[in-house]
Amino acid sequence: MPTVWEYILNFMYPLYCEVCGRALAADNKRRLCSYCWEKVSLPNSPYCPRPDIKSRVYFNQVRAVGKYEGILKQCIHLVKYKKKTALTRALSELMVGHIKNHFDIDKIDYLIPVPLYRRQYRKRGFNQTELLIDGIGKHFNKKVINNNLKRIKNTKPQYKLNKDARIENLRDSFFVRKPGVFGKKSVLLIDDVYTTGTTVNECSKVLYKAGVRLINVLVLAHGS
Amino acid sequence: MNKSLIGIVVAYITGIISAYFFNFPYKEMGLLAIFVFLLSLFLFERKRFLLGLIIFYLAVILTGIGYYEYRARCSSSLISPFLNTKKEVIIRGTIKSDIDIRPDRRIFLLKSESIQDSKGSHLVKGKLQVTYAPGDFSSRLDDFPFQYRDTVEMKGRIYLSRDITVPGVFDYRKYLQRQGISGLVFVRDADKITKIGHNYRALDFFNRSVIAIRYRLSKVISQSLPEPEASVLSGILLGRRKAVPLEIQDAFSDTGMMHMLAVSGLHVGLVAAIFLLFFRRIYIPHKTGALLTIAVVFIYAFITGARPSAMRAAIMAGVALVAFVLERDKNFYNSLAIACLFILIVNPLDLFNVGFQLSFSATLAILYFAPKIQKILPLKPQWLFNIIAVTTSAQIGVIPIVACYFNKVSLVGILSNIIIIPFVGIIVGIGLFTFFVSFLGIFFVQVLGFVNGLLISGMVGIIKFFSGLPYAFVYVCTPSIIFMGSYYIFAGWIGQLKSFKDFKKFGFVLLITLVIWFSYSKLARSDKLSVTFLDVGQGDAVFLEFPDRSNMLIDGGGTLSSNFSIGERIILPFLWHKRVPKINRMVLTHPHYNHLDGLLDVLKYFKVGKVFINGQNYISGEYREFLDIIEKKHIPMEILRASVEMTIGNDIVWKVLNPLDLDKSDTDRAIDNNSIVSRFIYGDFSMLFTGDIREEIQNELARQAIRSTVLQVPNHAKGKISQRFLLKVNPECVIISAETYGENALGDLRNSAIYSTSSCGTIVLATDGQTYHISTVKENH
Repeated sequence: MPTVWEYILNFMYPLYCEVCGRALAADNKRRLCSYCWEKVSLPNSPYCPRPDIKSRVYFNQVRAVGKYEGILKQCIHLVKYKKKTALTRALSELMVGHIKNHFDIDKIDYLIPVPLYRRQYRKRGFNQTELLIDGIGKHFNKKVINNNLKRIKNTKPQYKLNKDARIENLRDSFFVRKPGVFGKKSVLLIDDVYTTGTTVNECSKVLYKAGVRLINVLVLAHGS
Repeated sequence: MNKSLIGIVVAYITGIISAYFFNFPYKEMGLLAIFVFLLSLFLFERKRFLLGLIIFYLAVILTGIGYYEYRARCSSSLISPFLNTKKEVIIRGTIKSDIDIRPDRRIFLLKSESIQDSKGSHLVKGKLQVTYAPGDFSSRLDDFPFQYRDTVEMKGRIYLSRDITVPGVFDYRKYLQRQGISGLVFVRDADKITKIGHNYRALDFFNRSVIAIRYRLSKVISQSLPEPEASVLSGILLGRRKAVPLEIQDAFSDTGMMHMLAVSGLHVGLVAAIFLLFFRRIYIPHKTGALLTIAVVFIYAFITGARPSAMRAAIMAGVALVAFVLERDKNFYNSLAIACLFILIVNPLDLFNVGFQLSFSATLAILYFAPKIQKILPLKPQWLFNIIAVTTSAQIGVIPIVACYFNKVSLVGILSNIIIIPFVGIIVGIGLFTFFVSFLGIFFVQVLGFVNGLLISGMVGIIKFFSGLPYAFVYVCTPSIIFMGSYYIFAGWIGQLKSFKDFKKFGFVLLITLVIWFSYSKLARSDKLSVTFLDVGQGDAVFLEFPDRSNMLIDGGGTLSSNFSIGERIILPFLWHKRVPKINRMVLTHPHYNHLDGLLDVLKYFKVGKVFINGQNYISGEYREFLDIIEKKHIPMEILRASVEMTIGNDIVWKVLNPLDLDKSDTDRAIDNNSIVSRFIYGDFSMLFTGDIREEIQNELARQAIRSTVLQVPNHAKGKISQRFLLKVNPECVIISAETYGENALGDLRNSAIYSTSSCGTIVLATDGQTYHISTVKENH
């Protein structure tokens, strides 16, 4: 049952499915109608993209919730470029489900989002990965560490570049401020889109050097 | 779009409009509304949703009616016994507004607590507008020591301007009443107003800081700019339109730019955008920035006087920013509906405010048309085409309302807006920036002021250039409700057209409507002769509409007052309201100012078929001008003498009975006696217009057959009326066009029904040649 507050809010700002535009109930938290939610949350069988990198792979395991296509792709676009940040709730719900099935959450100490460069963060106003990870952290009652892994170079967007340029673009752009915090811990690194794996691998590299014992990676979508 | 929200707004407005036209008792309406509301809840409970919804809307309508009645009828009744009594009373009350500083006066609102007259002190709560204007203004105005929330005691008369009874004329009295102001007080001497204390409250903090910011802003503006740029900027930035010199105001209104001088969406949007960007620039998180911007926007709306257009824009901006904070979709139709509901709950009388109507119709049209126009014109640079789309849409929305209230449509409006709006953006930006920089020192203020001054004078120059273009604007007659309704229906329909088939259907219906409308307006014939005696004070102005749809204007009234033009304020609006395309015949009975002045503007702005005068040789500036315009516009002119006889249409005979010959002497009496006297005969009905003829000419006329059903009493019933003349005319009914007239006149006229414009207001007489019917605006007494 929607609360009175939700009723009033829905009266002033009616909710619609962000993907297909159907009117939603006042207490809908996902901002997706049941059809779109069903489609996006279809079990996409444990989907394990291979890290497609010539250099050394620093993480132990990587998983994606789904393919970077269809409604999932639309949702990520809406969040990143149309600022529909409310959709991250549905997306982190997806990730929570995936973690339950494929990760042993008890063995993970910290959740870490892939950071944005400061200027980009301020321009966009939020880091979509942080929003995703907040929901996950709250659900499993795990500590989220936002500010220890930093991006210190304003890099070009990866999707515009080819494979080699991607690696070159991201070289030395991540940095761990206090390596002590991560020492001997196991972490779950989270990002939104995984294409060649360069970004998460660069992050994992600095995390590994900071002494992290086990690095698991979970991304929302894997694009080819 | 939330249909139930919009339904509520529509229902509420319906209620207000019905209360405006009909009288309802508000207490009963309120009780009924509660009852109906409970009924709808009961129906909802029983799952009868459709019926419940209908009943619910009915409850909203009833609420609108009851609330309007409560607000409209109850506020002014307490003060009314003290109104226009011409006796000085002692008023005690609290200053409820900022002091409005004008060059020659100070104006503020006073919430009265008690009024003391000769009979004693009365507790009277009401809102009064006080004007303090000492005769030798410059010296004593500067030490006007009162401010917001002071309690003062003042001696003065409470008055309200005469209510306007001419249809189509702006009613200042109603305008004041809509704002809850039930009387005006004029104080001339500083010693008639004294401070007796103050009435500060903790809650006034907001108002006091708003006043402080406004004061600071106007100070910065006057420091940074010379006149008239300073007043133009305070007009644009603070919505202080009245401070702007009249000629510049006229240029703004001729070019359809008046909305620049009323704080509205453009200004509020600019302020919101400037602050949002500024907060982002200084790395305030986006949501916090949005919340801060909401505060800024509302403070800005209050600084500018919280007028409906500013409040509308502020509420809409607020609703949109809250949507951003709540991560919800914003829908501007909903925001508009919320703004509308909010403003009309605070004051339901605002619905009849021109600014409210213009603001909401413009916004609605922008929301509806602008995206559609942008789709048709997806060109670069985008910002330019955005401005074009928004301006065009706003014009589509406001043109009928502008025509309705101002009878003026700007043809260069869209073009001038497109050029000026970017200017205004920069000017407002620099103006605000100057305000913040002013804390750093006067130097920066002056530098920025110099830049802004150049921009403002450039802008004013462009506007003046546009207003000087031939056909920058045209005068139009007041559109009828049906015309406005069909305009909006067709405009809305155009927005829905998608295919060529739709277009054909649209064109077909439009064509049929035009044919029906055109043939109705051309073919509809009435057999009615209608005569309107306009309420122009101590003067004559009579408008006749004949059965063949031609018309005649006899005299135009006039006053000696230099700041009130009867022609511009009364005669022209009346003729536009009547939708008169052309004055077929204009008669000047004699060239005295109170018959002549109002005709000048008619000659200037209307096509006139023929002018009839008596050929009097009379020296006055107005008469000279009158003849000059006639000559310049090549209007045929005829000098009338007794025994001239004409037929108008097939049925009406117009007989001229005077002057037989001009009395050449130069006295007022002779000029009066040379008045054209006309008698109109329509079937069994006849009517005598006598101008200002005095007793001797009346006696002379008594020799002829002048028996008439209706007589317009000669010379405003001022002097003695010849009994012989009255006996001979033997009118069933007499009409006196005057502000005051002698009591003895009433005795002379006792055998007839008496109607006078002073007590009845404007009088309309309609006849079909057999019977006649007289209707008046006010009750006859």
